[in-house]
Amino acid sequence: MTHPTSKSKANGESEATPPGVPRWVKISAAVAVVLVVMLVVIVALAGGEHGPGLHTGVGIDAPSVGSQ
Amino acid sequence: MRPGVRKLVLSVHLAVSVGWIGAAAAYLALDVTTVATNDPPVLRAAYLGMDLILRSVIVPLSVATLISGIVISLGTRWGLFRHYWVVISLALTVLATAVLLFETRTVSALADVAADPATTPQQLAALDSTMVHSIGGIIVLGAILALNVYKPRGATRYGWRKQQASQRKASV
Repeated sequence: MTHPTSKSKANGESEATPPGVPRWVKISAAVAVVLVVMLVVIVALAGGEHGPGLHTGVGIDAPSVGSQ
Repeated sequence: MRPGVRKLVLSVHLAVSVGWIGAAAAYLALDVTTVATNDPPVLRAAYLGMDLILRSVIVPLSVATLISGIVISLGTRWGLFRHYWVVISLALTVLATAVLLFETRTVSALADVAADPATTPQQLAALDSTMVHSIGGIIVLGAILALNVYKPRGATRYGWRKQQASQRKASV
């Protein structure tokens, strides 16, 4: 399945065709998509505070230092 | 690539990539601590330790893993885009490194707040955790490790064309 295959042409020559995407890649991609969707749903249900904005440090409340 | 050089680069790649997983496990232990305790001194120490491990160990190891992985791929018959397992390993490593580099800002900000003497115990206990990234990162690193050990079959179209070209050249 993942190996190059040959098909016969009308004049009897064989032409190699490139291999398709292996099954393990398709299954892994499907599992990865399901996991990412689940994660997004869980994070959204938990408050939705996760995202690129979190990495800017904007979401972190600094304590008030107080006047001196 | 000469065999001696290849073995040297491979040794470096193995050391830094496995070291990355070990450092990520140490980081996760501190991350779990921030969720499991409300003790202010322990929380302060955990956030400062996370920041230190991330910036001084994990980030350098991730960059070294990426660079040594690219060098070893280009210097061997595997290539960088010839086999699906190499392409996926590269993509996951780039993704993990990118998320990590963004994450350093968040963790540094958390450590700054934790280190501030004005931070109250309540504010310390309310600080964010980075558990999603810690656990997700270790899962991704484990997947990359498995791909590199098992090397599942499957050439990309580019790899297949290269293979065909070298076979034609050899038969001439």
